[in-house]
Amino acid sequence: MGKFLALLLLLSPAAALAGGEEQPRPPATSADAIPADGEMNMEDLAEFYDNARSGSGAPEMDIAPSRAQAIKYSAPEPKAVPSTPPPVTGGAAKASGGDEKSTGGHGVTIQVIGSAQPLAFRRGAEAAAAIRRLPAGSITSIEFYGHGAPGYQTVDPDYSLGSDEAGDLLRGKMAPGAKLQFTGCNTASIGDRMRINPAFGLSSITRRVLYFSIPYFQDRLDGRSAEEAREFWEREWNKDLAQETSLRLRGTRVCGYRTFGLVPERLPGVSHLTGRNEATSPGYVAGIKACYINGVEVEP
Amino acid sequence: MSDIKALLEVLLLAAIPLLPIIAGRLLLKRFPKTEAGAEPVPGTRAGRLIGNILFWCGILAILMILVFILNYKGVI
Repeated sequence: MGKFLALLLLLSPAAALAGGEEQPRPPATSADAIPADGEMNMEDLAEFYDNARSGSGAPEMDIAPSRAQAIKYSAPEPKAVPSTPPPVTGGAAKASGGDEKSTGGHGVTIQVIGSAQPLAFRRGAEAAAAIRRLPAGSITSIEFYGHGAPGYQTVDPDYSLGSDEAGDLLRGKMAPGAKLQFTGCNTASIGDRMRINPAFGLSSITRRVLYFSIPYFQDRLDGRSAEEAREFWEREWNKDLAQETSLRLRGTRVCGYRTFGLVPERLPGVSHLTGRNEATSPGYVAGIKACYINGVEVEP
Repeated sequence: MSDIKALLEVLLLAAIPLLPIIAGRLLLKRFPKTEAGAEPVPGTRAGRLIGNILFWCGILAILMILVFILNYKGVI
């Protein structure tokens, strides 16, 4: 019985914190699919199209069974203008809606020159809008907290960024010697240093299976050639978001995780007990960190 | 050829966590539980402890990989 309980206790963190992507929550309306900054890339456009098909903001056609009846057309309701709520301070945010299901701990925490309190945001788009308004060279430290995968990190179900997006967003905004932290699983490569830590080995095995083997066979089933699939996923599975971003933000210390990062606070029950189920920063993270300045590895 | 290579690699990776399970099982067999009143074989306590740790860590490793994969696939 004791062994069984221990097994259950040890399993729950993996279930709660598995670094795979959170299934994105579909936006409620097509208006929600538009990023707050108004810029839409191809992914946004595809998402917008999908939502326009099913969302309430789209024209609704009610075709009656009989052709004698007139086709009803209801015009789209006016979109609510999204307002940027003030940043949350103190590391944790309150739930925005009483009955809304919590999306767990995620967010962006920004330390700005001349401010004792960090700026904390639950939503990535709100943080991005706030960063664009900040003066040049004002950020001393910034942390993106959410789910990660090789080459990119999500902040909330509707906002993710890769090295290009992070570079474009933060270019010129970082103070000299500033720090950027990607707190998400596998946001750095596994590296080439030999380690005897079995947890690191297990994490690397899982990473290879998740981000090479499974997508490789999926591509093969979809008809992609073996060479093409292998070449593509060999490049993808070990991408280093932290290193790539550090090359785009010269002089900034950029850190990520070489492994899956286990956050004890995100355990079901623990987050409720500590009242940090909607925290914007993770507290303790069990994982191996890697830091880079201008693409060169430095001590974390 | 590339597919066989990828398949073999998956099998090999999946087999790695089996190694501690096998080692743990062998140790537990080598050091069986001592009957009440019987003289224990020297090192039984340590052998069984290490055997149990290896055995259960291997089981946990496999379960953890499964949980990560199922989570990635959106099943859980």
